[in-house]
Amino acid sequence: MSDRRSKNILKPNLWLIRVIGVIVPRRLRADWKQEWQAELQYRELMLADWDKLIWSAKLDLLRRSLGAFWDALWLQPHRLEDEMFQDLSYGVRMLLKRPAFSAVVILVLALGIGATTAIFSVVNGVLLRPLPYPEPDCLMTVFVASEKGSRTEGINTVTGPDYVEWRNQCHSCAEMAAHTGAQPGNLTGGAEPDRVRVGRVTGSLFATLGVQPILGRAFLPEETGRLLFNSDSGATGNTPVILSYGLWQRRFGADPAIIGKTVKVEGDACAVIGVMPEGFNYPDEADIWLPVALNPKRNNAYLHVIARLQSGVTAAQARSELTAIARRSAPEAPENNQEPRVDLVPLQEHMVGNVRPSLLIFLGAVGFVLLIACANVANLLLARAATRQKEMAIRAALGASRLRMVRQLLTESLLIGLLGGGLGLLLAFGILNLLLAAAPPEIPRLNAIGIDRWVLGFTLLLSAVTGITFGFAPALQSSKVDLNSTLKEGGAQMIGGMARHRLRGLLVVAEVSMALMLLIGAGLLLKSFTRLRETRLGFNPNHVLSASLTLPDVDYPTTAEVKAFYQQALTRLAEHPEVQAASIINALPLGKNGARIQGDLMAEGDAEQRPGAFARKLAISPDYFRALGIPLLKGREFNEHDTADSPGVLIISEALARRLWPDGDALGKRLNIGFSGETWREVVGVAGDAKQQELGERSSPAVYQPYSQVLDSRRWMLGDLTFAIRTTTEPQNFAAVLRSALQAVDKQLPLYDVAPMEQVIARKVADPRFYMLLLSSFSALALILAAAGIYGVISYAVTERTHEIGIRVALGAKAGDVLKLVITQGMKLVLAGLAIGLAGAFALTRVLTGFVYQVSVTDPITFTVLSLLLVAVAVLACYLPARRAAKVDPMVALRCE
Amino acid sequence: MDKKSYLSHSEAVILQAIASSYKYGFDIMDISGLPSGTVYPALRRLEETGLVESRWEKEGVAQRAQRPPRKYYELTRVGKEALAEALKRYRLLDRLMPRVPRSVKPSTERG
Repeated sequence: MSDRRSKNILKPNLWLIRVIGVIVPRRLRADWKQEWQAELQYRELMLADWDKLIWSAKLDLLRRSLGAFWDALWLQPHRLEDEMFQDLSYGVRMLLKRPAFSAVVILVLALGIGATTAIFSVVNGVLLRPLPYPEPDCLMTVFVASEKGSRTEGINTVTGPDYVEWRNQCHSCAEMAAHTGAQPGNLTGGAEPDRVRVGRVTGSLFATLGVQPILGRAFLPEETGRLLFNSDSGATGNTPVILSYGLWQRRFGADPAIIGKTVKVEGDACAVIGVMPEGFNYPDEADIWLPVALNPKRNNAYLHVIARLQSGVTAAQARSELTAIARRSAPEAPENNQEPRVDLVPLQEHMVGNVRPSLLIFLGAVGFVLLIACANVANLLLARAATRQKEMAIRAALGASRLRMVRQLLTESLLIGLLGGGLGLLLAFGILNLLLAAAPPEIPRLNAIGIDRWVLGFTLLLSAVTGITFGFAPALQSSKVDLNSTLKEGGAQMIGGMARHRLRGLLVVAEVSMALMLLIGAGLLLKSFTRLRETRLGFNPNHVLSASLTLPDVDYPTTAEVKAFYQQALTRLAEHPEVQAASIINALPLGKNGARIQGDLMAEGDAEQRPGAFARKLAISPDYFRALGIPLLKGREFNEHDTADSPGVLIISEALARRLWPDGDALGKRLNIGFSGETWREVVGVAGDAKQQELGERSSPAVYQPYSQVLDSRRWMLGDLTFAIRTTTEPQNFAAVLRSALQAVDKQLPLYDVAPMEQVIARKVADPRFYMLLLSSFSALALILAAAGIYGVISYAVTERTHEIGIRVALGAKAGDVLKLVITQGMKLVLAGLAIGLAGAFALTRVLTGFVYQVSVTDPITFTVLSLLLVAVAVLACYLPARRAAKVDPMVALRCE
Repeated sequence: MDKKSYLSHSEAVILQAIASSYKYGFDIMDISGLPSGTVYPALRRLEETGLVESRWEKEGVAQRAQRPPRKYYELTRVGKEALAEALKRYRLLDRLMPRVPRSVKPSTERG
């Protein structure tokens, strides 16, 4: 029998029963175990000895013993009469008995958990939640790997022929599609003209993503991939177009008979053939989809390619197959002796890769806030533990084991954790709304952010884990009872005092150090942000209104017609009394619309391309410099005599002038702006530098030509132009005037991105501003919590030491001495935390390297100033209880026990 | 008793199994094909509502077989009524399982 028993120990099925038995209420456990063991052993006996059993029989026994788990779960309600329930109801009573204490503790936790939940729901929505397409793991972005071979080099676009060859020959891919992203376009016909985002895609896009229209159909193969480049095919009038659900609802009132109706996109009549399901707007938040034109030239890489892998095929297999295809199709020596290489990146990674670092930083930062909150709560519980010493002692005296008491205390803290989590979840909804309202729209997948079951699970887990984390140390501490001395009158305060003090001190040190790290991180971002805001723009954004306009190819097919339109519009605007200067430009400084061209130039007399001879290439109307307030340093502005027929003229920016002619006069020199068909043009002026692309850019070389002299072959340069108008009144108020002035010239044109220039700049700093605000609010919260922690500890220490202080005062200590005594005690902790925090900040701020502008991540001033701020707050937190200590009346203190 | 009108199919199957002299958990599982995660909780439920009752096998019997004593389930009077009621609704139930020939089946062994 004993031999048999020893064998039983080794059997996994019986082991399982033992393990599962732990959760069976104790009252029923013996009975329960016996039933299951008997069943299993009897079954085994009938089959054979365990060792002789075949695997399938063993597995069957294991499976059966797992059934015990469900059985045990079913018995859980029986716990109501059990110890755990007693713990719980006792815990509730304890919380209700001290409502103020409970409220503070739960609120502190709720702040930490709420902030963490909100940030986690952003991380979850953007990074973790799979794309809303079937089998999203199979979706890949396909691109020609850059020469350096690193993925961070960016995703290159693909030429038409490459895409066609890949799609036709690749067996690893179930589907492949190409698109050119979504660009803003005009939607006309019907009521008001509308500005929409137009995605140009191949018909296979929908099948590749696995999404079908809810109304009508997708593009047919013969409708896409045809070469409808330029406008010659536009006149056919039956280009198919697919609408997004949102546009269909908004503009067409969810008209069920929309299919077959005609809308005008960019002036081109298109027949609606389908409506996509709600929420589908790939790529780039597209509102409508048109078939993409495939350019047969091998030198024009403009397509983004996505593919769905065959199931079971890995990205590596597809990579090598596609590379082989690419090499086959480019056999004759490539230009730079570089064999083409094709690479794949999961679509989701491609979409969200650039925000991953910042989101993870914020998750880390908010984790710090939560830890500080936990430390605070642990501190409060430790303080309370002292007052409950007698209660514990009585329970111990009545026979409660230490384990039982730890469990009781842990149940209480778990309860606090869950209550804090519940309140935190409510807070998270609010915080998340604030976050989403403030978030820059550039963050991808913003619409996927929300509180779903994963976030709920996360919050639940977080509450439970934090409950146990902050409850564990206090529970161990307070369950350590020395019966004799505690139950004796007056002994209570001495017991466990030292250990508890040390623990509370350590918690304060940890809080201070984490708060300092957050403060320094926020400080760096704040400083960087101010630097960014203080950057010299090179122009004066006050009282300037900007607004963009696109002239459709169909209505304005030639460059001459475009020029005539703008000539007329500008003349009309210039007559308006509120206008100081009205101008147009193809790419507004720091704006986002229009043809943003940057490229090489040739200076007359140079044998070959000079390094540094590149610039942003801009086309402007004569009043541009006056409108934006860019100073003209030398020469003259453009005027009405610079026409298409007069000699070509240019104005260059100071940076470019210095680069090209460092010690000479640029005026009168001649440049070729490097487009095909260009001739030499004379530099007639030098203008001040203005930031073009980024506030942080080091230098802004630019070359301006009069829009009237843009060659006929380059209509595309004038397709999207932006008005920049200096007004005498508030620029927003002028928007209506501008609209009506343009409507007088052409009714069908919608203005878009109408905004004062100051707003354009604000948009440019939206990202850093958001990050700065987020980290600042975390660190402010951290600072408050840390200060509360310091205050709590010192205040409690003062209460404990009242007797001692009384003696000191009785022996002649002055109020100043007592103040010093108490503040020193607190500041020791603070300084220790400061040292650790500084070291941590040196190590951790490195992650901010990519986020700061003109600030070192170990900027000594930021480090010093914020350390001082923390010290100041800490001194204040110590001073309040210290003042109370200094007022101790020795007679009262000595009497009090 | 209200309970009998709410008998689920699997509960009815289990009652029928017990009535057919499959008297303990694993036997019921084998004959009914229901998984242990269904059978045991159902047995507990039936026992709580008084449709079945359980008793332990006599120590002696178990000892002779060198195993811990098993728990046997029996239908109560209410249980039998509930089963009869259920059989009207689930007509095939009766034919679902063979009755155990008393002499052969070890599970009917009485202590």
